[in-house]
Amino acid sequence: MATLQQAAEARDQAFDLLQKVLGVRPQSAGILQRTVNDFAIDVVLPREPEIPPPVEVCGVPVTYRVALTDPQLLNAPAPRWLTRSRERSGRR
Amino acid sequence: MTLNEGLFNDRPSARVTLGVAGLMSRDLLIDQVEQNGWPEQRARAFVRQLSAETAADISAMSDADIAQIVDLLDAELEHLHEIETYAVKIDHAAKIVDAGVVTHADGSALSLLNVVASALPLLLLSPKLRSTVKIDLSWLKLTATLEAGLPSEVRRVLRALARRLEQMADKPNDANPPDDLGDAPGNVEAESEDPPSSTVVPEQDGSEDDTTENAPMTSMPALKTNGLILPVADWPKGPLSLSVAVTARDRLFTILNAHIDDIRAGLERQFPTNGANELWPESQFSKQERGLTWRRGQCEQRFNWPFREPFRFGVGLYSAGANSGQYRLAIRIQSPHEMKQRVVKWLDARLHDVNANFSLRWSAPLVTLAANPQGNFKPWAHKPVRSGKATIGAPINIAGGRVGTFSLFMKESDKFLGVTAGHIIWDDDGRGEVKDQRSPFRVYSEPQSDTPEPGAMIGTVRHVSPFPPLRLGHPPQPGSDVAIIALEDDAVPVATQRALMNGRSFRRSFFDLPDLPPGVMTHEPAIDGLISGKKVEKSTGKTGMATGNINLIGVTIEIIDTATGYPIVGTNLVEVVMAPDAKIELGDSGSLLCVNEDNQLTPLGFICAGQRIGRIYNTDGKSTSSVYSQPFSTIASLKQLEIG
Repeated sequence: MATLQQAAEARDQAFDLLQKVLGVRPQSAGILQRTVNDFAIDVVLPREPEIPPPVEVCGVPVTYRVALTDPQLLNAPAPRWLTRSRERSGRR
Repeated sequence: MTLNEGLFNDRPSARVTLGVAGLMSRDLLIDQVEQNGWPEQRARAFVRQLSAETAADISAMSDADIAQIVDLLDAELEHLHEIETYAVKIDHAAKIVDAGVVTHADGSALSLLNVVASALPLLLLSPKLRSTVKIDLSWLKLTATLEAGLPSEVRRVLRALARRLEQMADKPNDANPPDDLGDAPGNVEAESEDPPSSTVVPEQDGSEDDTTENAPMTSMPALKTNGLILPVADWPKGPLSLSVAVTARDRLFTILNAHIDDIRAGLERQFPTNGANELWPESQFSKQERGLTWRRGQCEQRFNWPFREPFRFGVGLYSAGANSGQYRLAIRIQSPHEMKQRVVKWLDARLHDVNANFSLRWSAPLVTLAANPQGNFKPWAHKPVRSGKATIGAPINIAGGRVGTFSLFMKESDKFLGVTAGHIIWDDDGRGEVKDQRSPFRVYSEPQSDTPEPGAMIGTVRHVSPFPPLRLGHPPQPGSDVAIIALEDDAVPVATQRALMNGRSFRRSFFDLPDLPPGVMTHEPAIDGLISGKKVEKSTGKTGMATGNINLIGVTIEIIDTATGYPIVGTNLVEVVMAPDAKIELGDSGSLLCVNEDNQLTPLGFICAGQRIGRIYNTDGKSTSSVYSQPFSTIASLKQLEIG
C-alpha cells in the first residue's frame, strides 16, 4: 500500500533512478490509483531494458510499459500551401 | 644535409610548417597502420623506422628542395585545415611547435633532419585524407599523381617513402607485419614502377569487378581510432552488385559509428548533464526493412536527448532499378531539428558532397501517430467550420502557422476568451507569435496564409506559454502549455452553443483533480472514489469524437517539440488511454476532454500530446493510444476565469 504522497515522491525519483539502474530514461511517469487509498506509479520506457526492471521504486510498486512511438505534441503542421505562402512572403 | 639557418631566416614559418606536418604525419601514420590491424607498439615502431629511413634518404636534398617541400606542405595543411577534424589537430600541433617541444614518440628531441623526414609523409597522406584521390590507390600510384613539377630529388624521396608505406597494406589477418622493418624495400631507383596513370580521381563504377571494390573494404578501419579517419570520398558510386554494396554499407556504418562523437561535440552546452544522468551506450541493432538489412546505430546518449538517442542513422541499400540486381547506398539520419545542418556538414566533410553521392534523408526523431498529415490534410472535414466563428472542436491557428483545435470558451466579466494548447500559437523558434509583427496577435478559425481572409479572424492572443524546457539534473519546472485568446465579439456563438461538446452540454465547472505539484507533497487531498479508470470523451478536433479512460494522474512526461527540436517537460498531466477504435492525429492538440460520469460531462482538460504505448510488462499485453491532457484545474492562468 502506498499513499498518494509516496507515489508522487517515487514518480519524481523514478526518472533518474531508473535511468541509472536500467540505462534507459523513462519517457513518462505517472500515478496510478489502484484502490481508493492505494497508489502505484506507472512508467513508460522508450524501449525494453536489457535487465528486468525493479518492481518498486522508493517502496512504491511500479508498472512498466514500452512506448511504440515517442510522445508528440499534437499540433498539425501547416499544410503545404501555407508553408509555401510563408516562404513567398519572406517569413521563416 | 643540414638545414642551414638561411631557410629559416628567410622564412621563419618553415619551421612551424615542418613541425606541424611532422606531428600530423606521425599521428596519421600510426592511425592508419593501426587501422590495418597492427598492434599499437608495432605501428609506432614502423613509423619511427620510416622516419629514420627517410631521414637517411633526404641527406642529399638541397635547401631549394626543402623549400619546395615546405611549399607543398603549406598547401596541404591549408587544405586539411578546411576540414574540422584536422583543423583541430593542426591547431594543437601548432601550439606544440610554438612551445618548442617537438619530440620523437619516445620523448627525445627531433633533429632538423628528422623534422623534414617526419613531415614528408603528409604529402602522401593528405591527398588521401582530403579524398582527392581514390582511396585504394596504391602509394606508388599516388606518388605519381603528385610528381608533376617536382624536382627529381624530391620525386625520388617520395617514391622511396611510398614503397615503405606499401607495407601498411598488409592485411590485419595475414598476420604479422614483417619483424624486421629494416628489410622493407628501400630501393629508391625503381623508375620502372611508375604507374601510367596520373588521373587524380579515377571514376569507379558498378561495372568493376568485386575484387577491385572489395579490396579497400577488407582493410576496414577499426572502431577505435584516434579521431583521424580514412576519408571515403572515393566511395563506390553508381549501381553496385549486392555483395559490393553490402560490404560498402558495412564499412560506411563502421566509420560513421566510430566517429559519431564528432557530431555530438558541442552539444554539452545545451544539454548539460551530470554523473547521475549518464547513460549507457545504446547497442547497435539491425532491422529488416523492405527486405534489405539496414544497419542502425546511435551514439551514446549522454549530453543529449534524455530519453532518446540524439542522433540515429541508418546505412542501407536501395535498388538502383527494378530487377536490375544493382544497388545504391543510402544514409538515413534522424536527429533533432537544430542538428540537421551540423550532421550534413559533418558527413560532407567525410563523404564529400554527400547529397550527390548518397541518398540522404533526414527526419526528426519522432514518429507520427497516424498517416502523414501533410499528405492528406483535410482538417476537421467532419466538422464544417464557419469562417470567423469560434467553436469547440474546430480548428484554430495563427496565419501560416500550426493548426490545433479550439478547446472551450472562458469568460472574464463580459469578455469572452478561448483556450487552446500553447504550442499551437507559439512560433517555431519559440519566440511566440505574439511578438511577430506581421500578424500581430491574430488567431483564425481556419488555416490561413500570411494574407488571411479578413473575416476569418476570431480573436487575438492574450496569453501564451509553452511547456518549460527540460533541464537534466533539475526537478521539472511546473508550467502550462496553454494559450488564451481574446475573442472578437462577433466570433462568439450564443450561450447554448458555447457549452456544447459534440452536441451535448457539459457542466460549467472543471473536473477536480488532486493538486499534485511536481515537488514533494505536503498534504494528501481527499479523493472521492477512483480517478484512474474514469470514462472520458473527446471533442471532435481533427479526428472526430472519441472515448477513453483516465489511466494516470500527475504524469510527468518528457517530449521533444518537433518544431524547435528541444526537449520539454510537461507536469501534472492526465494520461487518457483511448478506446481501440479511437483515432488521434496531429491537429488534435487543444481538443476538449470531458469526464463522463453517469452521462454527465465535466470538462477535464485539453489534449496536448499523444503517444502509442505497447507491450506492457507486468500488466496486460495490449498496446494503446494514449493522450496527455492538461487539466484545466491545474492551469494557474485559468483560475480567475469562469467557463463561458
